[in-house]
Amino acid sequence: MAQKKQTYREAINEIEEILDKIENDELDVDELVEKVKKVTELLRFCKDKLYATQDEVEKALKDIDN
Amino acid sequence: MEGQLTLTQLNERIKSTLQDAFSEQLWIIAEIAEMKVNRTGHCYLELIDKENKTEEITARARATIWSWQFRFIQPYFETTTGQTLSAGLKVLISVSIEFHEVYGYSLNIKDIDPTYTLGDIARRRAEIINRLSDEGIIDMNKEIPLADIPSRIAIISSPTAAGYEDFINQLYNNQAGYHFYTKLFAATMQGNEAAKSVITALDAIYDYEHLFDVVVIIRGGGSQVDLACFDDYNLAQHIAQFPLPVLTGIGHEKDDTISDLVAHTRLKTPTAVAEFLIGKLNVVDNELETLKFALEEISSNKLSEEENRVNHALRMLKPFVVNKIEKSKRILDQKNMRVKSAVRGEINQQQLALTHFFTALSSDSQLYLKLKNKELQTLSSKATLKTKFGISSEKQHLAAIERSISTGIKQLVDKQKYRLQSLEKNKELVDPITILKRGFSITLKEGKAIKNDSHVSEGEYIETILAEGKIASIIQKKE
Repeated sequence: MAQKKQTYREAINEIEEILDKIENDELDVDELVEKVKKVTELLRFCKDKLYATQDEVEKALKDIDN
Repeated sequence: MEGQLTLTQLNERIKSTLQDAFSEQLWIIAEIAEMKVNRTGHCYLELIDKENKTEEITARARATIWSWQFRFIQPYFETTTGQTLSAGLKVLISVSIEFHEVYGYSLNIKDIDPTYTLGDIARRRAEIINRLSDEGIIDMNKEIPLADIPSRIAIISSPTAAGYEDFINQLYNNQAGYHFYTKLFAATMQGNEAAKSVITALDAIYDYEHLFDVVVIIRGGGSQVDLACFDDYNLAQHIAQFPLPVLTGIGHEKDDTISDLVAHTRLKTPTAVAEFLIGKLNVVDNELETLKFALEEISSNKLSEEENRVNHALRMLKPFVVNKIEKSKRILDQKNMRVKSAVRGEINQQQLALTHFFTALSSDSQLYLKLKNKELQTLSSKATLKTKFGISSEKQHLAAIERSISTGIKQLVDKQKYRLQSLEKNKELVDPITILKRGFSITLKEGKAIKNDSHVSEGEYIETILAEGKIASIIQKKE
């Protein structure tokens, strides 16, 4: 748990920030492609939090003895 | 020793005195200190009374409820109060005073008024709530934000409870297919030990706090009674101050327990807790879908906006370009005209020069013509080059000019050739040798042609040149 992981909220904030920029014409078309890619990645990251199994979490819980 | 009594006699006298003094049943208030039911169904209790503030025991008495009465009293009490008839409760009971020579003083309980206990519970609840409130911890757990994705769950439950099964099934079989992580911290969920057991489980979770998003305390499938343990001050205090949000689903429809009150979120059943958690993930899922949709919409809007911008620019560009082309065309046409007249002038000049040249020269005139022709070609290709930067139509135009120039020159050359030939012919005609060949002759005197007879005198020597050969003669006579 040493490395700082991006949280869901941080990801969502970043997505919203980018969408704002696109909407407010702050990006040119070249940047747009790149940013759309970035948002897609962030969305996948968030989706993974919902659906994917994180092995390290499973393992950590298994290691608790009570 | 007259008047001396045996213990039996004393006890008999106490017994009859008590019977006389307490011939009727009495309603008394007491707290149950201990309580057990034997095999035959008789209930044996230890009743006490306490000083309000010091909690010091001020009275104690044994009591019984005979089995045939206990069978009715217990369920009535429990359904009315929602509490197990058990130690710790304050009760209003109807008793008869008993005295047995061997076993001594006891109370036989005939009836219990549950409304008193209800009131007492309510009063005690109110006291606990006030205390938690005064201590400033009553809303502490509610103030902890629930994780956006509360998927790592510490469960406090009895592993054998139906409610636990329900919770796990509901959670892991969620329709969306969300992934949850659960860890059970087993605890006793009813009876006097429950509060302590749940606190122990909370302490265990506390050591692994960073591994969880949320704690759920679930219980269910059992009876609706015996919730008193969740009104415990110590338990409430632990829940309220727990660093993770605590969700309760302790399976009751009635008033909230104090544990429910201090929990982050109170839900009725374990199934409801599972639904609540799935719902939280649903919210996130929807948010993500919305963002995904927004991304598609915003970026496609942006693209069509750009497309419109480009199209607009194209529309603006077209008349501009057409204008420019027409302007260039006009300039080219003008240049074309200038080149044409320049070429024509040059041709005329060359024609003139040629005319002069041809009249002056004969044999090498063809060579000269070729030279001039080449010069003209160079000139016309120069002219072509000059206009090469222009549009292709112009090139063709120039090529046409070039063609017309070269045909013009060719015609000119032919004409000159013809003229040269006729000139040669004329020259032949006037050549004296040709004339001589026709039979004429030239008479010379001292090498000079004699054109008048006054230039000669009789006896003078003259020479006659014929087409072939010469004659020398002496003039005999002038006529």
